[in-house]
Amino acid sequence: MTMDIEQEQQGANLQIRLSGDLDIYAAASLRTHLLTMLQQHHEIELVLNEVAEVDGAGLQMLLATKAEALRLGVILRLTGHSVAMVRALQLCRLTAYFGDPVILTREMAG
Amino acid sequence: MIDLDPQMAAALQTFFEESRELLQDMENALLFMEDAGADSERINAVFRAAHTIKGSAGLFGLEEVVRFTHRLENLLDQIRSGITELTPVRITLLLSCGDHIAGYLDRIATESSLDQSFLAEDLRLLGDLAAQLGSSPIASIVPATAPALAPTTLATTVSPTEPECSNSPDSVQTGNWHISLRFGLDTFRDGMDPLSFLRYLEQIGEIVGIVTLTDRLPPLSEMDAESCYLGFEISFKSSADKAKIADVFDFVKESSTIHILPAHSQIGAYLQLIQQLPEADKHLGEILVAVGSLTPEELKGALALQDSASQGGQHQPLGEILVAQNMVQEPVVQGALEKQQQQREHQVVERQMLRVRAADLDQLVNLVGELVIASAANSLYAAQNNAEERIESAAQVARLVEDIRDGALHLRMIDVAEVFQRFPRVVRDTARTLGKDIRLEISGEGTELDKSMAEKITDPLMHLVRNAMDHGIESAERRHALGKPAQGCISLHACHDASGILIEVRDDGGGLNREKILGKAIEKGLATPEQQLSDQEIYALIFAPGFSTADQVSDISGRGVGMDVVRQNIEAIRGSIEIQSTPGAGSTMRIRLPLTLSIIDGFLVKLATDTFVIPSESVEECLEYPEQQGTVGYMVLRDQALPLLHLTRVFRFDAQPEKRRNVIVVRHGQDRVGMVVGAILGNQQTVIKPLGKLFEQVPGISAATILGNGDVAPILDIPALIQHHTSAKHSH
Repeated sequence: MTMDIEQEQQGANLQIRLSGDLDIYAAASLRTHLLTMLQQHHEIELVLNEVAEVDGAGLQMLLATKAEALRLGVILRLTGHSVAMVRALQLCRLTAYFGDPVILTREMAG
Repeated sequence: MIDLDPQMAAALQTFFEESRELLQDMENALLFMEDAGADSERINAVFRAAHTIKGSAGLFGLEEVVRFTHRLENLLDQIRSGITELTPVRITLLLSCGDHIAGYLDRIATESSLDQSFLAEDLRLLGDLAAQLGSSPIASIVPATAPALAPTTLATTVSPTEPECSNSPDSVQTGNWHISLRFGLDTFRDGMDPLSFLRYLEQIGEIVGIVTLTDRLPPLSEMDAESCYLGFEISFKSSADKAKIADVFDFVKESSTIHILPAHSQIGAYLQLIQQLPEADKHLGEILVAVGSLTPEELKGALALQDSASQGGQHQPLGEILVAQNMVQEPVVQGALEKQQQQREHQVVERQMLRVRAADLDQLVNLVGELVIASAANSLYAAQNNAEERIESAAQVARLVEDIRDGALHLRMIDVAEVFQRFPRVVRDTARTLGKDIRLEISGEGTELDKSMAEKITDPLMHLVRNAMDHGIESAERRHALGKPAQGCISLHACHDASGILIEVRDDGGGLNREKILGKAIEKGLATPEQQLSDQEIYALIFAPGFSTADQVSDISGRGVGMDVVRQNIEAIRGSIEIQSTPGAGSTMRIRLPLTLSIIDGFLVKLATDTFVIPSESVEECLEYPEQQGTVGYMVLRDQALPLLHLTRVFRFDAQPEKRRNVIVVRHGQDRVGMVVGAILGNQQTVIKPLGKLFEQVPGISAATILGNGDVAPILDIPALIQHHTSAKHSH
């Protein structure tokens, strides 16, 4: 499933909604897009509830985005993690690194 | 027991194939030594085969195979070190053990259960192995070395609960492993996903702690989104052995940096790890603490040790420091090095060969067949338009297609030696059952034939060989009385022949008994006493259904259901069989097979308005039909009579005889016939399309093909036409 990026400005907050597979195929275009957005906005929310699959390249992209946000002083929040997103973060024990609250559903816990 | 992960399933398949090859090598070496006496090189080969199978089976958790092979290995080890002699009895036992391992593999591959009789065989063999180990006659004679060695090896076979591989320092471990991963830049581009390796690890154990490393990750503005910068430090709890854990990363081991430390490794091993990894030592040390592999105290101790080593100004390699300080035992280092060396050698061999699924090859050959047809159409249209450039380019395409066809067909070719390699064992076992002394000679290795044909020819060959041993070769007394050498000989020979491949099964026995065959045939109503039959025709009678001349029905052959099946099987792959026999000197079964089953070079001829294909391999020459000669049934060619077959009559064409007719001289085996046809259209590659059920029974036609212009052209069945013609001649 190819990745779609939708976004919406809510006051100071730019909401970027990622849907589809956060993977190697999406990584290049996502990098360009996020880089531009990080340079133009001060508060960005990545909405992840439509993320169907995550691979190493996708995860790496989030790590790089987080690092860039920290460097530029941009507030970056990851919200609405999908099951696949939570699983990937848990696999690498990265939930704490991003520091965003994750809501576990019954399915994820099991 | 067997993991169903697709990657593992594929690896398991490779294991089965490799093990079968190894078992075959083992069998070959044992059979060779049975004849020529033991030699250390072959004993080593047998030992290595068993050892490799045991090791690989361990990787897949096939405990039964490991357990059995381990016992086998004990005996082999004794033989190898000269404590036990390789006697014929032991060779037979080792051969049976090889069969038994093959039995295990077959049952695991087909996921069938180990039945009672198999387990009984298991017990019997294990008992025999133990007996051979225990009652070593040499051990009691050789005084100095044997007593020291024998008790220990004996002990391993006596105690049934002894854990396998306990001598190996890196296998039996408890507690947490430490795995250090730095994925190569091209990991994603190679189609790998680091996360899937982690998921796989979770299947064979528990990831106790993990730290994801982002040290190599460049700023977002500079990074290449498709390069992999990820690394992990993992504390891993698993009962798997090192090889199994290392196997998880098999596909990335070339491009990535992977370190696997066994549980409770010496602190020095961690120190070494810290030094080898690219990240700053201190940072890395903290990560190891974070993961849970090291305690803060241990880290402090390791770093202090490192400092003192570098301050001392010694440029000693770290490995030496560690060994000197007794942190890593020397044999461990040595063992690991040997293992790496073996693995490297193994990889080199692997890279020279590719394993391809047979179905994929079939599909390729099919496509090439279609390509041949399309290319023929292309040439035809180019010729019709008479456009010179197009004709030229079409010719070039046709030539390339021909090369591709040859290449594709060659991929399916295997050495006939692969077919023959099963026979030494067959001959040995059959000879024992029959109580005859028979040797096997094999020649013509290097002759290649189509893989599917090789599979289909094995059974008929097996039957012919057994038959020749049972009926052909006389008992030792009789041979002695006849002044022949006591040992009988069966020879298998293969070579390329003008019309394909020739495989011969020859024996030096009594030859076929002409009178006995004829008598039996008349008795069974297969022939009449009045018929004048040539030797060839009489010999051919043994291929008739329900024919058997054996006075006694033996286990090996003689039930009369065989030779007709042999012939059917051979004819099913467009082959033929003929017999030559000399009374008292032996007989030869000669099998002719086409080179391939799917494409032939066809010779196109016209009959009235229809096009027919004659397989080029049977065409000897073409001449103009001598209209003036008057006779119809034959013509004179270089002072010899050539029987003529008028195809228009065979296929009952009503059309007027054409003005210019031609004769195509075709040959099958010993017979030559001139086929009278209309115009000759020339050679063309022809893809064989099987005929539908409705046309299967049409005499004289074996298949059909599609011509470039879309017309269907029947392919003439030359052997059938010749046979029909000669038998029609007899009945007149």
